[in-house]
Amino acid sequence: MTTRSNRKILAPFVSLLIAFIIGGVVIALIGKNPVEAYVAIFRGAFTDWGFTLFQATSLIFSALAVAIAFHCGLFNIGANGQLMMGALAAAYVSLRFAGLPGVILLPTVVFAAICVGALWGFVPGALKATRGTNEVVVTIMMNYIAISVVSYALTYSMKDPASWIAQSAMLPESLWLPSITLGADPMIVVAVIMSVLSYVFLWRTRMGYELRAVGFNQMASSYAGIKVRRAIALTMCISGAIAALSYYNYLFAYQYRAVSDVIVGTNVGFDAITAALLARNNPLLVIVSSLFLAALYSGGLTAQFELGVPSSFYLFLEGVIIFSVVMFSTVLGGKDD
Amino acid sequence: MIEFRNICKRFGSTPANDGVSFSIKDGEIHAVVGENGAGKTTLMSILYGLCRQDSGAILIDGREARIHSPRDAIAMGIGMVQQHFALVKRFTVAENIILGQEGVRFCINRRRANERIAGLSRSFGLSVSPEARIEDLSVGEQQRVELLKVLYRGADMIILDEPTAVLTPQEIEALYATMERMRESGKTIIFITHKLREVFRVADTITVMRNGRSVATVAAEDLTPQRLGELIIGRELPASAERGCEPGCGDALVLENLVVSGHRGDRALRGLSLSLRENEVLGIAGVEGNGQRELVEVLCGLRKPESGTVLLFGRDVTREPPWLLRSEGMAHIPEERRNGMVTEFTVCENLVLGYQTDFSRAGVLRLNSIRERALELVKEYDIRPEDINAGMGDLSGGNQQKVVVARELMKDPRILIANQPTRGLDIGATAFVHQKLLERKRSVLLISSDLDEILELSDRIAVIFEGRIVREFRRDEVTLEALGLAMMGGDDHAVE
Repeated sequence: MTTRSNRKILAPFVSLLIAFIIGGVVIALIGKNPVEAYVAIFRGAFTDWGFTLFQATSLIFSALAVAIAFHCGLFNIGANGQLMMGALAAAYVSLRFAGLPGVILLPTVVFAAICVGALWGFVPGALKATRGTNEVVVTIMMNYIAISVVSYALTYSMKDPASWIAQSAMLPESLWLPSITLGADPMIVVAVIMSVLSYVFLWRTRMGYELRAVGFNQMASSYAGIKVRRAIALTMCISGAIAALSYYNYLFAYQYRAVSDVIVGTNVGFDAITAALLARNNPLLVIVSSLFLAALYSGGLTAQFELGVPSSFYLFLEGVIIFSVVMFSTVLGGKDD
Repeated sequence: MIEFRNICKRFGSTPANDGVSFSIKDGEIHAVVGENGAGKTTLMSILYGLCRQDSGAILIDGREARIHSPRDAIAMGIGMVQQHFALVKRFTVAENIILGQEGVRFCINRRRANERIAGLSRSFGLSVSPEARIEDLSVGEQQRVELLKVLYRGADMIILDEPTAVLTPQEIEALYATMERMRESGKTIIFITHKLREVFRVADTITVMRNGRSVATVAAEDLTPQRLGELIIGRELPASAERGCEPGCGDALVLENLVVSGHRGDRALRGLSLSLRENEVLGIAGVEGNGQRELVEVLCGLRKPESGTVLLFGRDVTREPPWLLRSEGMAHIPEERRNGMVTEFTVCENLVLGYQTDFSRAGVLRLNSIRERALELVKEYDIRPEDINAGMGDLSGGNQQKVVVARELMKDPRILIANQPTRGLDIGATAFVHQKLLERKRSVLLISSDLDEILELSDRIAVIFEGRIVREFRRDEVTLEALGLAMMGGDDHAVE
């Protein structure tokens, strides 16, 4: 038993190692020096660690959303859509009520984002609970709907008339987040707190217990009197609500506007799946895996700048990581029977 | 001849096999008996190549056999029917049997396979249609398919891991006959069980295992049940369960004219009426598949009846959800163990499953009181390993069952639906669970395919046949013959 759990802990590291080896081979194939490239990535990640933290912040929220859904046996591929809708709601409410003092406006904006995100999670959750619809399919579709809603809103109704591109007006200054250091903002603290709360929720609360029971064994859960359908719908709500906070820092600490192309073009909700997988859905480890992926991402930009390694290399590496994590967690972790 | 020489196998720090040595002669039915966790299944898994021993050797016909996988075992003529069947539900019987067989490449010669299967069916008395789909078969029939699979592969040493645990009395008799026929045709049968009666009914030789060791290997005729029981548990047998109280006259549970459709869309219950009195143990006897499963599901709120009513202490709860019934003081030991537990959870977490609300304050789990209660229960029910943080999946079946029983009785429910409560339990544990069921004042609806259990515990026995209660007996008036007859539907003294 001890060896098995040791192996489980080891699995992500082995898979990362293998992903890096495969990535190195690919870098060599495009005619660059893999060692130099990795050194550049590493250096980039640390010289620009404010950007790394900034990226990690978004990632943590979405990864928590994915991880919590996983615990209930649900694969939330819709974190991307949920975060887009959350961002849109936050931008809309902050502009609509811009006159309110910051202390009232801030909670209102956060609440609006959470509610819209929860709704975006609730739809696939409720469909799964009542109709047995596959949540993977529905969340993917909800992503497309979110893309359309966001680009419509920012191209027409919410567009800043003075601007040439599809973006909102400047968001109220009362909500702008102070930068702690080098571009990192207080949202990283909120993200860490959210991770701890998620951990407590899953392992210390009744609802978390029920949600995990449903995730492992629906039959036994319903025999035990757990309201399985409610648990499924609720989990997706919670998941969507957390994902909805992912882009808060983009809005209020980076661009101070809702920019259609940036929001619609985000990939954070999908990177979050990798982060959750690497963390084996443990909310505390999500902090580590998100930091890691963010470092890889910002380092990748440096590598592109310095060596001409294409930035899409990051996407490639991420794909290989997912692949090897999935493969090696089954190979090394063994079957759970 | 199969010889085990000093087999040792550890899982983590607990030894499952701790120096097992005995031998099995060709052409005999060799029973391996012992309590849960005695190491029987581990030993057989080693023989079948599902896991490897840490030390020791297996000799087959005097030569050391290196069995690294079931493939090796099959090549040596060893076959195994496990407790949990490995059948593809949507495939037919024949498709399942030839699945993964040597010689099947691209084309499957269905006709030839069917003929061979039919031939095997005939010669071993395993009647099952090759064209039937697995999902339409009863558990007993599925087991026959597993047996046919083993025979089809030409095994001549056949391991049966607690084969009777899932069978009705009639099916058990048929299985015995099959085993005897297999022996006549020269096959060796290794038969894992912990039911004393069975051992004496079919076994030639008995090996007793206790705490991972082989304690004795004896010819069946040289043993008495009493002596065997003592060998198994290593001390004297516990006395049979005693009633805590006499039945009252109020009704705890009344079912009126229940009509329920079953899993296959047909009528499973066709106007079933029944009443369970306060503090009474009512045994439901019947051949499996006569509506017991649906009856329990309706009682637990998992299946909605088409018509009829369920009254719980006078209150109509016919279409109420499971959690409400539970809060009304109804507990349920499910037939299928996996429906009563979450394998991935710890023992501790499983011991509060369904009672998590009672163990939380303002939505937060009270971990200390959960742990405290879990420690008590683990001790009281002698659940092994004695570790509340052990993964449920690492426990033996019997210990898992103890966890389920311990949990369901924890809150002292007013009504207990006990569906096969001692399935898979050994003698000591069965007696213990029986004692637990009876020691407090409560009404128990006992559904069991083990007639001995029904006869021992019930104040009253109701016989279910084709979705109706066809006969009721008082404890003092029942005879095995009348009971058996009623179970087959051959009785015209139907209850109005």
